[in-house]
Amino acid sequence: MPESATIPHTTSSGGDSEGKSKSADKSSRTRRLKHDIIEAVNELIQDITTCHEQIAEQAIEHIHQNEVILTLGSSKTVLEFLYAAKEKRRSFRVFVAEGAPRYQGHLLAKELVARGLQTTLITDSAVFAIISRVNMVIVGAHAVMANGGVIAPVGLNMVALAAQKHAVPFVVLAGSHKLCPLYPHNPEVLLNELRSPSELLDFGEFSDCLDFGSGTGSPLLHVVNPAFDYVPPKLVSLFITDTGGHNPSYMYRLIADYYSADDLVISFVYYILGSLGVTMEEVVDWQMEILAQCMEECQPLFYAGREAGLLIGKNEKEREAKNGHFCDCDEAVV
Amino acid sequence: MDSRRAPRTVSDPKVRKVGFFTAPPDRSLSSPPDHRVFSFLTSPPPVVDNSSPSAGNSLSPVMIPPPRHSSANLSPLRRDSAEYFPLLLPPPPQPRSPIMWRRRRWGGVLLLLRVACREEKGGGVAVEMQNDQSTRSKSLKEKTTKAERRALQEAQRAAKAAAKAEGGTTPAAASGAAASNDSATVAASEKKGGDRPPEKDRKKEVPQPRMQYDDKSRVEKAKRRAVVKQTEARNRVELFRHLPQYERGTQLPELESKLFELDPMHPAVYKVGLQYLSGDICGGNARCIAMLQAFQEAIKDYSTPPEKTLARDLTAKIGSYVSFLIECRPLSISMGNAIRFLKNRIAKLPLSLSEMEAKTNLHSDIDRFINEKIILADKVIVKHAVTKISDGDVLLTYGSSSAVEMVLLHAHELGKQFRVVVVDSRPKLEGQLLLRRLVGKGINCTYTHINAISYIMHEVTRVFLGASSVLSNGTVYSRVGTACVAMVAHSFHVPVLVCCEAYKFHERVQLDSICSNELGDPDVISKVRGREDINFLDGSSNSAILQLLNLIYDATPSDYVSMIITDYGMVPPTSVPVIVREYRREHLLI
Repeated sequence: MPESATIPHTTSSGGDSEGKSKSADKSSRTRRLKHDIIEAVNELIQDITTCHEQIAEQAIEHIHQNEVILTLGSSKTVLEFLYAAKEKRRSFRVFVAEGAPRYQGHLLAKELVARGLQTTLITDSAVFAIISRVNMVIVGAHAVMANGGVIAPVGLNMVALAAQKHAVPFVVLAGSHKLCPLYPHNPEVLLNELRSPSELLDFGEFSDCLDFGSGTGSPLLHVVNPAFDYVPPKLVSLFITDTGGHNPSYMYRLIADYYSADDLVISFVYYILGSLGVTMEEVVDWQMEILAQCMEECQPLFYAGREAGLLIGKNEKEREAKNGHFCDCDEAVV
Repeated sequence: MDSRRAPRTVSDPKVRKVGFFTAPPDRSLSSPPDHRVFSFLTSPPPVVDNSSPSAGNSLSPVMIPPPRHSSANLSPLRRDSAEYFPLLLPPPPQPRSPIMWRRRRWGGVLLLLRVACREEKGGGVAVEMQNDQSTRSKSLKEKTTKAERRALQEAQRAAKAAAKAEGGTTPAAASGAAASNDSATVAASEKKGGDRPPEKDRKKEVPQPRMQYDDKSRVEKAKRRAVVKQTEARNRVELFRHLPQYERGTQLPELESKLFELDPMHPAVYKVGLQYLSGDICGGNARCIAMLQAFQEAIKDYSTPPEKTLARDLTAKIGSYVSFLIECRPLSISMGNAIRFLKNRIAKLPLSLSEMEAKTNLHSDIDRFINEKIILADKVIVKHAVTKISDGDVLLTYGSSSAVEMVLLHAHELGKQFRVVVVDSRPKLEGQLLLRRLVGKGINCTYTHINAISYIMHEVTRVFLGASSVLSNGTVYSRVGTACVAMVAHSFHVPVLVCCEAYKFHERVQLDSICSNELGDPDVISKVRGREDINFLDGSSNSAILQLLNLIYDATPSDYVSMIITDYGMVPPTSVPVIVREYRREHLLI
């Protein structure tokens, strides 16, 4: 595709009018392509800015009277959601857990109070104590994975477990731009960020412990400060997106709206490979092979999966040719 | 051997019977030196069991030994009962059959009498008993009926007085004669859930409900007697209206200014109260020991005013000290148990002792309590717990518990290779203190905050937690956040071990953390120490619709706990009510 922009002169060797139309064609195609891409990006920006309203419209369906709602940290979506319910004269009170170490909960509490909502600020450790008196947990998400799992600010897995124990619905608000075609494999480690330990410990006070002083040469003290938590799909009761409310098991269908089938399948392939214990290096090697072949044969990537032995492809001949290689994987079905 | 005696149960030490056996009627009236039938074990015959229940050399740690009967070292009660019933309780060498026979004959009377002796409702019964030392059984029968009636009356009077003052109090405190004095002490909330077994029904030992702060009249009454002036917090959280919520900032300076004006208050007790208020002393064991030592000082300086008995007056004084301490900071359950023990000891002082002797007795009793129930108990717990730590373990602990710290340090001294994850949370950040001490001893530590436990739990092999108390339904009542840690550990299939001394057990039950808790200073929530950029809530702390909730404790359900390590061994959470019931009497008699 990028070649088309640079080709025009070379192909206009035969038939001048033909060549000119061809080049005109190609440049108009380029222009149209650019136009399409810019439009798509604008749409995406539009989506991101308006998702709050669309999600908030659904608030009155879920919040009734005399409800008690729990949330952790701060999320603009949650804020708008609660405002919308307040506007429709629903009475409820909110427990906000402060969300160490960023303490965004303080911010959220301040904004809720400014809008006249009855708020109580609690520490994260008190979540289990309080949750027996809570009707609903409403939280935002950082990302929603293809299996319905959620990458959320740290501490939300604990809240989700407590909610499950007390049969409290755990509702995740997520705009559709947060959907991700990846299936999570070992998400606590691979899809996480570790932040600075200074948020937890004051370096000045503990500098003597952070010495590389012990016999093995490693410090006695490690500080762990992850930024995100993974909440598995079985703990989530409902996703509220701008397209409506959905079950976690439905989220993979929504992804098809926003991602092309190729990306979707490849990510699923990665998921299967990951669960089979294949390392990333092997996948990359295969990818290189496949890519080289694709460039030659101009085959879509869909069949590249077959080359990796996982998908059953149309071309029997090629499969036989590769018979000795990955035959035992033929049974795996998409 | 008497043919009427029921056959002894299985004597094979390998066969372990768990559960209650109901006693055959003749044996249900066993007095202390004899074998109590409510036993869980059939192996070694109890007379051998003079050693402390915790030195289980012949018993594996998981078995609960039968209650111990020290015929060797006679406590005052046993000495007294030996005096009172010379015929019925001869010293051990004598054959058993005469005792059995006589006991069977005196049936219910003996039961009442023994109960009356223990739950002394004033000096009347004891005096009666002393006079009857030399009488034969028949005349004893007559006297006992009179004593029984008197005891009943006392109990009823006591019940009425206590019901009026609606506190949970010990029997001694509620004695009829001292009713006026005691109503002052009773009015303050003593969260001891004290059980006052009515005369005949030992089964109906339901703890009295504690003082509830949503009842205005009672709060007013308590306030009138208060030493410390408390102003109620402005933004009270509705859910916790039944608990006291006070403005914290004003108490300490006011108390400090009153230091020299307080006549009735002993300076040692005052000092301890101030230390509680400012948070200098923190942690169940530390608070309990500090309080008991202050009481020792107070008892040493005590002198009986004329025309008053030592027992009653001293009990009243202790009661007033306790209400002062409650105003500084609500009692922990361990403190409540210790106070109950002390009041019981005071009540059991024989009247023949001089003041000096009585005071020395009490002093040594308190010393013994601290030594046996706290210090030695901790040693036993450590001994059991280190068997659960193996090389390569990653142990997680939450907050700062004295018992767990001792376990970790001891295991490290034994040379075990393990590393520790310390989980901490606001607002107290107690984990940092523990962290410093562990790293100082050379233990490899990881430090994190409570939100990150899902991340770190993958690496963890065992979780050790401390407890402020374990309640009778197996619920662990401990620092807020413990429930979260136990829950996440449970979901990752990591065993949770709770280390708790047995004196902290309580017969109360609790389902969640709301019914009973302690509310701390709400202002520490809005200010984050060391992070000045997080002062979002500075201006709005006085807003009517914003409330700050600072819970101190929470209740962990028993299904999250794998095992409780106590000085009576390593037991499942379901065994706690058994220990409470079986050893409650034994506790108090030590």
